[in-house]
Amino acid sequence: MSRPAFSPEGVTLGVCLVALGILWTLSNLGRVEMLPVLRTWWPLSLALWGVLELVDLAVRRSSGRS
Amino acid sequence: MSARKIGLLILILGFGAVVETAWQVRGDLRIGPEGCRVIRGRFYGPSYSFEQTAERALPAGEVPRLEIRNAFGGVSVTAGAPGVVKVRLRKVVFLPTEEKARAFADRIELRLSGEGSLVKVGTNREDVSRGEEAGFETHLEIEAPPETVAEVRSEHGPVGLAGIGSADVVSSFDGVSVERLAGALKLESRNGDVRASGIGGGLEVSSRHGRVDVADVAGATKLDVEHGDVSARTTGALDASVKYGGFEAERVRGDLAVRGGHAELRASDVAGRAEVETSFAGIHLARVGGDVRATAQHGEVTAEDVGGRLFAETTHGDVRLERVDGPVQAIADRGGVQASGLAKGATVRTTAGDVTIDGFAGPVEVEAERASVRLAPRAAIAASITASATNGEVRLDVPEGSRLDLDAESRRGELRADVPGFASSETSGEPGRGHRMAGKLGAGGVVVRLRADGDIALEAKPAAAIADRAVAKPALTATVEAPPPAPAPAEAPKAASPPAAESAPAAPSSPPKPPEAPPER
Repeated sequence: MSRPAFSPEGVTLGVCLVALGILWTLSNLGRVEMLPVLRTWWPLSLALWGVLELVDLAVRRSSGRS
Repeated sequence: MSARKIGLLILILGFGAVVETAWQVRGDLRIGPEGCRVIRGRFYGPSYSFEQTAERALPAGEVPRLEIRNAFGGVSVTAGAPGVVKVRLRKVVFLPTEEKARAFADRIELRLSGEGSLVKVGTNREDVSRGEEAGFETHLEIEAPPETVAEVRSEHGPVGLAGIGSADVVSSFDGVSVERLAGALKLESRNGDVRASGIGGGLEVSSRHGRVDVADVAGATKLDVEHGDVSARTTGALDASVKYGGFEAERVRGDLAVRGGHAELRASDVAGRAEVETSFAGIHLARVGGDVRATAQHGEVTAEDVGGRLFAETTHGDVRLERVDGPVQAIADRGGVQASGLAKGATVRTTAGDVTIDGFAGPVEVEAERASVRLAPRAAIAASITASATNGEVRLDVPEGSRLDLDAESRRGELRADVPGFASSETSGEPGRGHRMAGKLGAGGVVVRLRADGDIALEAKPAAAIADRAVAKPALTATVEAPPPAPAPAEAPKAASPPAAESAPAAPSSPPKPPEAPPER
């Protein structure tokens, strides 16, 4: 059995790491203040993960029917 | 749920908890010297107070200048007798026993230096605090002649100035209160609330974390505030930059310019022009004597009683206007426009938002995409009207006494003109298929051109005034409310634990003080 190519938690973790890296770099460059931005937007990681889980569920259901 | 998912959930929630905690205690918690803790830039633990005083005579005929440096502790400058500067230093030493505290306090010195009219006030903190043997605060209470020009640099401690000439203040980690200055005030605050009232000259404030209240400023006022609400009452010309906080201005005796970001902007009674912009919040203006230019991204614009021209632009928000004496230009992208009492006409463009103008005079030009237009002039139409609505309707009230040349076309709807005296000169098409009508009301006169995908309707109405009342003038002479009481600037920090005995002060003339703070268990 092959491993599914799409993993919601993997994508979530990847996107969060990329976002965190970009934010940290911008903060080091003095473009943004890191703490206020993180404090405002960190819950989006939960929302992103939830959306990806729903997409994953829908894909698996549709592939199960066909 | 798999272990991977549980692990990720714990990771995200843990990360969020760390961020929220860091936000709550940002800049507040640090490791202090042995025997006490440092929270919010203050020491906590057992402490003992000692006092030292000094004074310096000033040469006659020169404006006294004060330079004050303090790292931990409050600074208070008040008006005193002319010709002399009096300084009282209160040393608060955080050590477990009186004996140790007294020995340490003896090493802390009040230093007055400078020549002529310049008096530099500070302590030998840098020499004493090397090695961080103990935490200590130095509170400076200074009396200076009323015309004194003060420069204050304070790191951890409240600053209070009252009744002197002018001031330049930089404060890092506590509130600043300034009142009754004869001249100008320049103030920079990183963390802490700022209050400034009764400023006789100009005011310049820069604040990063904290609320800013300014009141009764005679000169021009410039504010640069982030992460805090701003309130400005009775100022000269006001120029402000506000991010991540609300802004409220009342009684501006000049022009108002505000650049906001994530900031709700409210201003009333502005004598001059108002040029305001913000994002992710609205703009609300009332009683502006001059022109208005308001731009809100992801927010609405409301304005009432504007004496001059008005330009308003929004995205994802409505424009609401009441009583504007000058020409109006309103652009709403994904928002509507509701206006009443427009004395010199309007040019309006919207997408996905209806346009309603109730009571107007002067030329009106409206373009609405995916929206309808309703125009109710109230007074007899005496200037050209052009209105077009794609995927919407156009309705026009025609007051008694109007004389006009109509050119109307409904592309997919019905065209009706229930106006007595209207003589149709040309009709073509049919309802639902390019229904077009031209004609005159009275002897003809101004051009009224209407285009709509939906219905077009003209309805006769009795004539009336375009607004229920005239445009209200800015009220600039309202009684200035007293500013809220200022925090005591040189107050010793409250200990985190119950009281205990405190030593007698080091100065021989000073009597012992009651217990201040106990040793921590």
